[in-house]
This record gives sequence, C-alpha cells and structure tokens, in this order.
Amino acid sequence: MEEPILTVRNLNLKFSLRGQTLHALRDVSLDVYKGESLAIVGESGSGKSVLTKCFMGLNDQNGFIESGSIRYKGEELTQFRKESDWLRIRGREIAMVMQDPMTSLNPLRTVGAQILEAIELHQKDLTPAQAHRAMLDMLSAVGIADPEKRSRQYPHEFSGGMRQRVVIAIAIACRPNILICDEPTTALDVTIQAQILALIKQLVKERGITAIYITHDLGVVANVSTRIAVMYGGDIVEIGTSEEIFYDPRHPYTWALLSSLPQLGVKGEKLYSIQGTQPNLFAKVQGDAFAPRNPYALEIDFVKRPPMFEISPTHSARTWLLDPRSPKMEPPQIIQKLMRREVSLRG
Amino acid sequence: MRLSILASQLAAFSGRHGQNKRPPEESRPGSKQPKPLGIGVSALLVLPVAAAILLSGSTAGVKLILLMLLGLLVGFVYIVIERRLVKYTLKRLLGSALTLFIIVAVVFILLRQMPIEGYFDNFDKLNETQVNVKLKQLGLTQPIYKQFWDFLVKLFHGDLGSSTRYSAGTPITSIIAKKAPISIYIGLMSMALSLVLGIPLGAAMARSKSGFWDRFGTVFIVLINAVPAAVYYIFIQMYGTSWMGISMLFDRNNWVTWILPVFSMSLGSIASYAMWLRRYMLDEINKDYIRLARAKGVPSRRLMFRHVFRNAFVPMIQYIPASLLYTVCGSIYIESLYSIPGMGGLLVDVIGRQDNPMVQALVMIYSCIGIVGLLLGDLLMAVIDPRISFVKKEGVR
Repeated sequence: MEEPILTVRNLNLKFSLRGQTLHALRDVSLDVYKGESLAIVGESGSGKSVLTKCFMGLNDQNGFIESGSIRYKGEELTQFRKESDWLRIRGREIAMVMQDPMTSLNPLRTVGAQILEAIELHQKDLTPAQAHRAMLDMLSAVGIADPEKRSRQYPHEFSGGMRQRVVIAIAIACRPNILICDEPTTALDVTIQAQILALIKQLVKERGITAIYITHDLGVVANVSTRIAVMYGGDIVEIGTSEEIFYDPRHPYTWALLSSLPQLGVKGEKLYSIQGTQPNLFAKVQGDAFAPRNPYALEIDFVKRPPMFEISPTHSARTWLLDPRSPKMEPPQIIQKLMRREVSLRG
Repeated sequence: MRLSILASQLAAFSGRHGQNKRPPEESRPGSKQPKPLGIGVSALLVLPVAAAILLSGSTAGVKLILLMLLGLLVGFVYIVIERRLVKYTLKRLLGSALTLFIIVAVVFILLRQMPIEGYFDNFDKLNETQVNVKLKQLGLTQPIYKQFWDFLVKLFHGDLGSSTRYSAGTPITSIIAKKAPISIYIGLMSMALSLVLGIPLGAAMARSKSGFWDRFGTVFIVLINAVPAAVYYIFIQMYGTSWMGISMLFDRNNWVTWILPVFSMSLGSIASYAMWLRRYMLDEINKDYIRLARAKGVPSRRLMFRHVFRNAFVPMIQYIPASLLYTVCGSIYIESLYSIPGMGGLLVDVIGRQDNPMVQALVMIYSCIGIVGLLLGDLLMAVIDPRISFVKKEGVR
C-alpha cells in the first residue's frame, strides 16, 4: 500500500458530561491511505462519528483529546487550538456528507447560494461569474437536471434524495482530499440509497478523493469500500481489506456482526442477534470491551486488554483468540461456511 | 478485487451505476424566487435613520418618514407579487377588514348602551327638553342601524365625531393629530434603540453561551422582568435627571429631555428582544445545517451572521410591525412621569370622563392598529420565509 494520508495513533478522547467522564475513543490507531475507500462499521455509540469528527475538529466543546496523535500532511491535528487552524482543514482538505439531508441544508437560503458559499470559501481566485458557473457544473455533476433553475430554489422544494445530492455537491465543491460520509444513506428511501452510493462512489473515483464511510449497514460497506475497520466500544477491534473482513473474520465481534446479516440467515430460523448491550464507557473498561457479550470469551478477556494481532500485513484484530497460547476456538457455523466460501454474501 | 457482495442486490434497484439517472419522481417544477431578506434587513436599517430625522420633529421629517414607508410598501407589494402571495395577501386583507368591521360594530353598539351623560359637558345644568333637543341634534334618537350607517359614512370621510366632555366640541381627529406625533416620535426612537441594543445583546449572549455576555444579559433580563417597570422608571427619572442636571419634565424643544423617556421605554423591549433572539439563535445553532456549514469550512463569525442570526431573526420579525404601530398608543407611565403631552393614558382619561365619542374613536383606532400589525407581521413572515408558500401544496417529500 501507499503512504498513509492520515495517521491516527493511540488516540484517546473523552467527553466530560455533568461531572462524569466518558471515554469515547480508547487508544484508537488507524491509517487512511490515499485514494482508498475505508468503511468504519460498528453499532451506534461505538465511536465511529466521534473518530471522524476529530479529523475536522467538529466534536462538541466538552470533548477533549487526552493523548495520541492525528497526523495529516505533516500537521499534528491534535495540536490545533485556534479556529483558523481548523479552517485550513475543514472543507478544503476534509469534507463531510451528513446523515440527514432533510435538516442539513439551510432552509432559508437557495440551494445555489449554499453551494456557492463552499466554492467561494475554498477557491478564492474565481471571479463571481466563474464561481457561479462552477456551482452549476457541480449541480449537474451530482445529477440534478436544469441546474440554472434548481439553483434558485430552496431546500424545501427538493426531495430527500435530491437534497442529499446537494449536500454531496457542497462537499465536493470544496475540493477536498478526504470525503467523510457519515451514514449518507440512512435517512433515505431504499430505492434512493443505491443511487446516492453510486454517485458518491463515482465522484470520489473521478476526482481521486479518499473516502471514509461511516455506517452500521454492511450492505453499504460491501458496495463501496476497499477496506473495513470494525469498531466496538470506542476502539477498532478488527481491520482489514473487505475481502479479509467478509471471508476471513477473526474477531468474535465481527463474527457476531456478520452472523446477524439477514442475507446469511437460514430461512425459517431465527436471525442471530448479539445479546446484551454495549459497555458503559463512563466506567473503566476492564480487559476486552466485548468480553461480557462474547460467547467465545476466555478468562483473560476479562482481565487484560488484548493487543492488536497481525494476521496479514493488511489484516489485524484485537482478540486473545489469536494468541498462540489460547485454546483453539471454532467460529460459528455460518462463519465457517463463509470462510470456506460455501455461502456467498451475494444472497 | 471483486467485491460486490451485497452490491448486486442494491444494484438491482438502481439500474446502471455511475450514470446518475434522475428518477422522474424526484424532479418537480419550482418557481423563480428572489432574495427577499435584504429588504427586511434594510427596513431595519431605516429605523435608526427615521428616529434621527424624527428627533428634529419638523414637518419635513414627517414627510420623509412617509416617503420611506411608501418605499417599503412598494417593495412589499413587489415581493408579494413575485412570490405569488397575492391570493394569500388578499385573503388576509379581506379577513382583517371583516374583523375590523365586526369590532367597529360591537364597539358602536356597546357605547350606545352607555349613560347619555357622556354626550354632554354640562348635563347637570340642563332640563329634560334641552337634553332631548341635544340628543336629537346628535342623531341619537334614530334607530340604531340608521345611526350606525351615518357613523360609517362619516368614518369614510375621516370624521370621527367631536369630543363631548374631554374638550367639548373639538373634533376628535384634531385632538389625536395634536397628541399622536409626540408619542410616535418617542415610541419609534425607543424602538430603534431597543433593536440597536437588544439584538446585538441577544446575539452576543448566544455566541458566548455561559460566557460574560450571557451572564450579563441574563442578569439584565431577569432584573428588567422581575422589577416592576414603574419602579425602575422612577429611579431612572430621579437619578437620571439629577445626574444630567436637567429638569424632571419633558420639553419638546430640548433634545436632552428626550433621552430618559426614550431610554426607559426601550429597556423592557431590549430585554425581550435579547431574550428571544438568544433563544432562537441557540435553537438554530444546534441544527444540522449549521454543523454542515461548519464542516464545509465557514468561519464561525460568518456562520453566526449569515446562517444562525439570519434564520433566528425570522420568527422575531413577525412582531416588529405590531410594535411599530403600537408606538402610536404611547406609554401611560412614562408620559405621565415626564408629563409628555402624548397619547398615553388618553383612553383611560376619556373613559374616566365618560366622553363617549372619544372612547369609541380610540377603541376603534387601537384595535385597528392591532389588526393591521398582525396582518403585516404575517405577511412579512410569508415574504421572508420561503417555506411559507401558498401557491400549491407541493415541495416537501
């Protein structure tokens, strides 16, 4: 693989909430490579969004980075204190598409004005006429017909899918290097979801943008990503290429996630679901965060936190099962079938 | 790497990838719309200027004000037509006219039930024949529908009748014409002052949530709302006049004496403008589109003004026409404290003196102002907020 464009090392982020401290990111390390499509999957509250918001300094004021580093283009993002520092990054280097297109556009400004604002902020050398032209091009690039007319309309005159196209146009108009898509299709109709994903995929490819998808939908992941990071309880528990994660998963949590895919369920049988709830991140997590819900948990899982075990140069997982001393554990039936490629995720 | 595990399923929905074919249900026709907010903002900028001109109190000033109002009206009508709000506007106008008519009728009928003393300045001295002659003269012996019709006809000619006891024989219009301007001047100035101080205060409070301005503003708002106005009015008058070394009473021709009444009058609205603006701005700040704007790299100052403030101001702008018009009524407290010869307390005064025609005229004027204020507020809202559309029920998915 190439040089990483963004490097996260041992990042610890905490939120102070009413006198309590929530340990939202526990020692996260991650490399993002240029031009790749990385998907970060995990349950709600596993820290996916918080992690990516760190890259843009968009976490709430009560969140603070305790230790660790985020390096982007030779700059240490954790050292950023002033807004002017972040303004060099936001939009210009890293842009974002958010979850709910119904609320992520300003209702009182025309769609065109909102795209134009992004263009004017990041391409200051353009004349107003050129910027206007660029705005119209952007609208047609995201598949909006009659951009001249549509640009003068307000968000309420657009449907959900169209609004998400506009949000994408705004993000792309900034000409970022990295595009973070925070559950870009969750709020959309199923029929529109695939179109929007295809659009993002195409734009990202055309413009050589590195994409980071945040999702809890493995269907989205399969469609768009080249690499997958599985997050649980504020940490990345397994990371590898999509191939590796889908056909050679090693972490019991990844097993559980895959087992609960409807596509893998057997007709007539109850669909697998993970028992219990996520760890309380207000309290100190002892050992492996997934251990209490993990049917394969070893005793050491409750005592000591497992290190990252490398399975291949691209694939590693944080579970004691990979330690040579641990007893041999058979993954669930369905996963074994998956690993032998007896079942296809193609449904 | 071949990885279309679930993609194929999803792909079945979308047809060919990468082609961005827009499904027909996503497109719909829309209307051309101008940017209406600029006019609202410039209307606000007009206010301080208007107040400055009013300070001179000359007729030229009045003419200028009328000219500005006319300009605003023209702009308003233009936007109404452009935004296709004509039908809505006409509907609201008709509704308001109907309400007004009902109020006029009710007031008229109620006041005819009042004791007849209210039509005489020397009732005790008259005998029954004299009373009857006077009543006949005034047309009060006719059936009530006839009286009402005559009243309406006179009303259309701008004749509100004459005062009977307050200032016997003087036409009511000339009494009001003498008193209203001074109330309007003071009211407009205090309104300009409260907008100029209250809005920045509210914005500063929202920006520095739980910072200095927020604490300062909260203390101010609580103080103003908790202490009865009459109390701090008196304190301002006592300490203000001695500090500035001026007399306690208002003198139209000495501008220094305008300061304290205008200031006292604006305190309450400064507090309420600041309070509401802070609240609306904090509402907006937590919305997704502000996050998105931040993520696209909008600097926070620009974010505050272009996005948060602008949108937070929309719900507030609704009340501005009404408060503008209510300046006509004056403030009973302040005008009596500084003995300002304005409209404040006039209604109470004429009710006390049982001047029936005056009561009737004033009640009608005040309710008219209220209705027109509400109407203008609604129209202004509709003009400024593009989401309020009356063209067709379409747009939102």
